[in-house]
Amino acid sequence: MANREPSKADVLQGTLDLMVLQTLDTLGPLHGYAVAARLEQVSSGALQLNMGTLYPALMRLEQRGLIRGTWGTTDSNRRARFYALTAAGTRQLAREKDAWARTAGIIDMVLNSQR
Amino acid sequence: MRNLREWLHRAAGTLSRRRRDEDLEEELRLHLEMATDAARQSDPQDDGRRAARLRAGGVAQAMEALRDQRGIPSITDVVRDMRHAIRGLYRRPGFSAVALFTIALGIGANAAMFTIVYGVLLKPLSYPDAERLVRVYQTNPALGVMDGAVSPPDFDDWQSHTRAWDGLAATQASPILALGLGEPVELEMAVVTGDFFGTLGTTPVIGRAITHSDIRDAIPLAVISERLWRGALGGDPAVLGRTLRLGVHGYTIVGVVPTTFRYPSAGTDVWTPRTVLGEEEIGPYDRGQRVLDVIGRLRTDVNVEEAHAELQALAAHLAVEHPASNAAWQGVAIVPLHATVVGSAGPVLVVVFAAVTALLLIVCANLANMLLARGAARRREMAVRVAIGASRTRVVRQLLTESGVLGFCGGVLGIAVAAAIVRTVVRLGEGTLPRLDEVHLDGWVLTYTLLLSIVAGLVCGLPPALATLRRSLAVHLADGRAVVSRSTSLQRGLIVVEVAIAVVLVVAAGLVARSFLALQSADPGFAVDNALAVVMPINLADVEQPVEHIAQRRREWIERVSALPGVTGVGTITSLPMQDRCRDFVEFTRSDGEARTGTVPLRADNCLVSSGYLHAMGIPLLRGAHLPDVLTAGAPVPFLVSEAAARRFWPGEDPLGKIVMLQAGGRGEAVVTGVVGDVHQTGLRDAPTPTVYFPQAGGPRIVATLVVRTHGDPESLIEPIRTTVRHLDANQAIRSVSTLRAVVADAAARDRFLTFLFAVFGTLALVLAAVGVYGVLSHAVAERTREIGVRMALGANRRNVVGMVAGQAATLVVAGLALGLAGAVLVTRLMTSLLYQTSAHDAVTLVGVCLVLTTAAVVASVVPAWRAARVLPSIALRMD
Repeated sequence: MANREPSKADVLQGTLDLMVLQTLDTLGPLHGYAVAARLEQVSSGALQLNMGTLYPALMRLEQRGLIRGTWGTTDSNRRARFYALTAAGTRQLAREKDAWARTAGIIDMVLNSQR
Repeated sequence: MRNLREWLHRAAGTLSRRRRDEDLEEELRLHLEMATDAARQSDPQDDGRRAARLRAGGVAQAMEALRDQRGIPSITDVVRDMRHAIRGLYRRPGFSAVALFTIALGIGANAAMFTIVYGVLLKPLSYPDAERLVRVYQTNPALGVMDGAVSPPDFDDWQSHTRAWDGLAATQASPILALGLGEPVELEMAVVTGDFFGTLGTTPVIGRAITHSDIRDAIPLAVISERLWRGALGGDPAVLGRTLRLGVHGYTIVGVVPTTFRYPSAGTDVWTPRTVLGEEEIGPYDRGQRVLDVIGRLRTDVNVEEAHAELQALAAHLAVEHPASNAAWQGVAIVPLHATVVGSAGPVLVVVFAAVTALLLIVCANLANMLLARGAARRREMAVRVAIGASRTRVVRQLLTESGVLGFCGGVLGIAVAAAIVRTVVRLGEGTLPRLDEVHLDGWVLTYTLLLSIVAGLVCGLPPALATLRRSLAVHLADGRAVVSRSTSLQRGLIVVEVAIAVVLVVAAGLVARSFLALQSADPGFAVDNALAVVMPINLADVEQPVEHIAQRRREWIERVSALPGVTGVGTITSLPMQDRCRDFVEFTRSDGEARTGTVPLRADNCLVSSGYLHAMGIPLLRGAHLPDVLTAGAPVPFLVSEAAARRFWPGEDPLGKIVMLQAGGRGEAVVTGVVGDVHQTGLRDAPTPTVYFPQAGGPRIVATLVVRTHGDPESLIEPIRTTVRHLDANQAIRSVSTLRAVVADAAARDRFLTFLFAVFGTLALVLAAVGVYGVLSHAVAERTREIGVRMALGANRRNVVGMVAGQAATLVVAGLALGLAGAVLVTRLMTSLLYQTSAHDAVTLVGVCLVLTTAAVVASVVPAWRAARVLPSIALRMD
């Protein structure tokens, strides 16, 4: 399972995980809606996550031990689950950011190369 | 590694504290609420709910996605899938019926054979620690005897001078007339010596066993079988202490052993100490008298090689001490008891099991094809599901559940089929295989069957299920069958494999059938038609009569029966060839001038016969004269030798007139007066053994067989013979009357049984393969109806269309035939040990099978071809 070529779904999953981790890293513990709202805002409306995409991703990250969820209350006194990065999550975030930057850099070089 | 951790979490998720559905739903509803609030904020007039739902998606969908991610699907999911699968089976009764029927057949036959193979071959014997039980034989390589019995003095020496054994015992079997049971009953008795019951180690059902000291002190005790106890003794609770009169001795019953105790044979009903019998019953205590069958239990710290070496050394020592009797018998052979019980049944069963597995493979190929065809028909349904939002894994899971449930239901039916097959086989195969009556379905078989059926269902359902993953399904949502799907190469490949396996099976069946036919027409050495064999046990009143009285009785039988109209010859013998093993043998040395073998005794099977026996049996007298009716006292006893005996003992010479010295029973001289044709003693497959025929003046035997040759139909003389015998002595029992043809047929029972089984499997394989071809072709025609319509509209006529279908069929079948013939040539080589005078590459069989399969394929393709030809172009083009 670890060595096959990533399909389109996998690539989307991977980048979504990275973006969620980054959001939690920047803003600290957030509940699900806040993460979605933040990503929509930062991407100027390009990223509109529906619940069926976001919450499985959060569950997946939790299963991998990269984030941890705890129950708490929102400002408006409603019971919500807040997710926070774990130490492993922080490390993974750094690793994936590096990898992404490297990939993007290479593609950039190729696309912009002069004759 | 990451994935592994995820999977572990998933697995843990199902077991430990899971995030409950309510918690997840609460989280999702909160998300929706907040989204609604945000929507209201940005557009105050609108009730933001619709907008929120559009952006955030539905709660139900999200729950589905979460459940998929959360772990192994919840039980409710699986149950729901299974219920849906069962409903699906109901909705398509035709498909389900055919599928369930073929699965039940394939799985049932496989499970039945597995039960039989396990019960006969694999199951350990019912004695405690049965792997340590072995049979011990003495061998005489010069005579070609590798499983010879042991003499009583030798056995005593073995017992006292070896240390490799936890127990050593010996038995001698004989039929005996039992009194004190109401009517006199003929029983199979085993006289035992040594530590018999201790060695085998069985716990009696009631009472106790005969101990070593009982045997040593010659106390007349008897142990009976449970069968005898419940049968002739009516399950009498006070059976212990009753007296059983066996022959001339009375024994006190001390114990009853369970039915699973079957040594020395499955028919043994009573065990008594050998020491109770006198010399006139069991022969002299002579080192040359090899009559004991020895069984031993190895000590736990000793292995077979060590025990063998020890015995071998002892035998060599005895040969030096007693050269006259032991010099030629220095060899010792040790064989595990299990091997002697199972005998040659192993190869037969393995071959049949292989055949049944091949049948199962054909069934699976058919099932896979059916599922593929059905999968093609359901592609639109799957496309809709995926479009609505089911994840592909979910769809695959559902499809696999469907095929798994199909397999399971087929397996449940298969159990019923297996039970029926086992019952039939046990009944039909009675006497052909050892331990067959110990065979029955048990928990292991049921588990094996259900697992096998589920696995088969999953495996066959995998290709169509995976197909939904690979292709883009959206195209199937479009109206109209613009997409033409042909039978996939997988379907065609499966058919080719299926036909190939069917070819191999049918070739095997053909070979077995030919072998059986050859066996039927083989010459047993005597004239099979128009003859009867009447088996009569010794009359109880005659047990204590002198020898001459019994001889006179037998002469009277011959006289009276010869006088009956239609009888052309009468003779007597102790045990008839092919019906009963010839238990008698004679040892002798040549005493003519050119004695080549020195003082080492020769041995041959010995038949005690009346003078008319050879004529009655139709055994040809090749040279010399028949046996006389009356013997002259003082002169050497005249006897006849078979061709094999003549070749073995007097190679290159004429045996007529040669004199030999008999080694036992009076040590008289005997002279060869004639040479007769060979007779198969134990069955048509074994070569005739060297046999000699002595006149039956000799001592009372427990059983005599009267052979009557008739002019016309032998069965018409059964009643007259019975009347004549009864007239002579009202108390004379007749054990059986059968024609010689029936006797020979019985001897070939195993081969007949095998032929029957293979005929059934071959036919099934043929039918299934034909059905498979039919199915694939029908499917192809149905799928290509539009194409055919186009072709016909463009000018093709019926013949072209039929030719197209026939061409498709032909390629499949020819490929299958080629592959199958190649496979058959390889596989049947393994069967040669089963075949009688038939080569494994018999050309007639191979050609015949090709013809049969081609015919079947032609029949199978007729209907689809006809249907294709009937397609009206106008209708075909209009079809969606």
